[in-house]
Amino acid sequence: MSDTIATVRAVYDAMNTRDFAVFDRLYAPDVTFNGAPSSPEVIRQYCSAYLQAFPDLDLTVEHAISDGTWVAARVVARGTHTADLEGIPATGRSIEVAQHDLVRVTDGRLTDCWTVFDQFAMLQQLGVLPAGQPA
Amino acid sequence: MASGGELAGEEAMRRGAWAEAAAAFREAVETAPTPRALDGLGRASWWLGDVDAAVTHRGHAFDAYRRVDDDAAAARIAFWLSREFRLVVGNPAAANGWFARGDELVEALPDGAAHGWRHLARSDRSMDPAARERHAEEALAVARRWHDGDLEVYALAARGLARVTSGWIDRGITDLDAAVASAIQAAEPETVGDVLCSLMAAVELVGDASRFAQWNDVLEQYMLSQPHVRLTGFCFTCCGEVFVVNGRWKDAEQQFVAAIDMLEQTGHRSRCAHPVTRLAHLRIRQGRLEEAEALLEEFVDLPEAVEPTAALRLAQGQPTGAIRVLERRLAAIGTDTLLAVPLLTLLGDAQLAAGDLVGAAATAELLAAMADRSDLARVRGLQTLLQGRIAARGDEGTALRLLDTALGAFQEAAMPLEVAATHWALARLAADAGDIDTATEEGRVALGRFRELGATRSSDEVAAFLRELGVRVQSGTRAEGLLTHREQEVLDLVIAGMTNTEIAARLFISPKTAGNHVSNVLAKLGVRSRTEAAARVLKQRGT
Repeated sequence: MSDTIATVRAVYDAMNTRDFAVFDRLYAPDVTFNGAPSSPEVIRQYCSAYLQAFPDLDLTVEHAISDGTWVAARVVARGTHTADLEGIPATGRSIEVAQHDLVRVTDGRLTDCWTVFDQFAMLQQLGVLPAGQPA
Repeated sequence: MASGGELAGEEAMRRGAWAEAAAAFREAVETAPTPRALDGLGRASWWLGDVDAAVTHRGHAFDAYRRVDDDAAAARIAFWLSREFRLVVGNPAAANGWFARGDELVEALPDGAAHGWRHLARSDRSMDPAARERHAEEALAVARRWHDGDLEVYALAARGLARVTSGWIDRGITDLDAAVASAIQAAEPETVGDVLCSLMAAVELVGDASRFAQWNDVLEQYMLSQPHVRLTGFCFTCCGEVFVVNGRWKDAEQQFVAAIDMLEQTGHRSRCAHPVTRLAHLRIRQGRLEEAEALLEEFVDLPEAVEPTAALRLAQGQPTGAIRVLERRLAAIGTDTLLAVPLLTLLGDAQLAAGDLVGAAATAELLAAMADRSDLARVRGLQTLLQGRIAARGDEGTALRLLDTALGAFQEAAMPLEVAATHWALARLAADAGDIDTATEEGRVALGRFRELGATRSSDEVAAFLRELGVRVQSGTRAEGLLTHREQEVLDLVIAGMTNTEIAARLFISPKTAGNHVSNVLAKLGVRSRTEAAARVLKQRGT
């Protein structure tokens, strides 16, 4: 039970310490992401994009439970937007956004990941939606 | 010395008497196949719509000019052949070959207008609007140094279109204005054709014919003074797309069908976007997805098929498929051009449908950058509609302000489909906020607009939404009393005197289906014959 949570915590730790060697090892080669086939490489690229946009990105696990296979975690992501994010130029603003993950751990590796984070709150905190008057 | 036949042919060309010119040149060629006679025959054939003959004769003219060591004239023909092979015949290998031959000839020539024609050919061949502008600029400098009026007009038109494509609308239109003014004063008829083509392409990019209204009178005057110059024949596709944007879907459909007919008769490619892809996109807007899919089947590989293909996937509920094709195309053309605007709009819609708010917000930023640069109400509206729909996921006040801005912009740009879509977004926003009165009001406006346009899927969707709010909505879209929209279309064609086979060809359906529609129309109108139907309807309409 607890070692599945430890595995998942290790992923967040690897993110926080930017230790991609560990990060890659923790994902199964045929991992699925939000129901679609993926790979450690693809997930790392996805995470890297956010790490570049928020170089001080920090993930805090507020709560995690496990049924022995599936781990559910409530996470808070904090960071400062100092570089381009998927085409959104740096705003210099800080974010604090909720993220909820549900992952399956098999033989010490993540095989299936479901993740949602509050994209809308992030966009609001970044102030990227204008007030509605033409520039 | 020019022969009598050559002079007679050239005189006929200036009057636009293409058949007469062709006959005179043919006679001259039979007497002596001089480069000038061969070239004249090629040009006359081109105006008569026979591109294959034009390519053959001008190919011979190239050889003949080479034999008399007029390499500048030969090079200009080589560049012309390269363009026709690329755009119309659809043979890129031949197009590259002819460009290389012209290039090689010009390389060996001293300074002169030929170098400008090479710059123009380079501009024409480039995909990147910045490079097109640069090459056109160099062509323009050469034209002015060597006083080549035709080259100057071509170069101005090319630079203007490139600038408009990059979103520098005012500077681009200034160039196009200058090009049209000089083209109408002097120049060969080919030059006028090319400039008008650039002008139409610019109108399509800007999506607002009113920006070019100052030319309507001038062009009409020109067409009236030279009724032989049937230039609009080239412009069906672009013309049609402007009609789509401005909500004149029937006119658009006629233009596309005429263009498709013309291409089928000649077996040629379309000069700009293929009209089948445009017709397919119109069908998607009309909610006729099966027809759109059938139309696109053969044409999926064309770059201009990306937009309707993505729109179709999105309408079929496959946003990730839409995102994939759009991102691939955007990577090829770049996001920094007006050409990208319709693709970005679809991409934003697909990202929203896929739940990718961050991606949609980034797409909106790209649209915002283009709106800032071009200062076009159309682009500003598309940007704020997308942002408003993103904001609607959690910030009602911001969403409302953005959608209001979008509405104003679309009204200014005369874009009725987008006006309807914005009312629809406002209706859903109000419903989410529990404001049933506003939701009903906005929904009714959206429904009316969608129905006027004939956007059946959208109007069905809004009707269902209104019913859920407890509003009584007349079911289905009805015109001429009990007829469906399709039956209404069939009836219009019956009144125009068409047979079932002709109706089938026009509507891209089988003759059997056309026959069924006609039977249903007659039954619903309670008449026994097509003539009786026509008489009844025309009387009712007070014609």
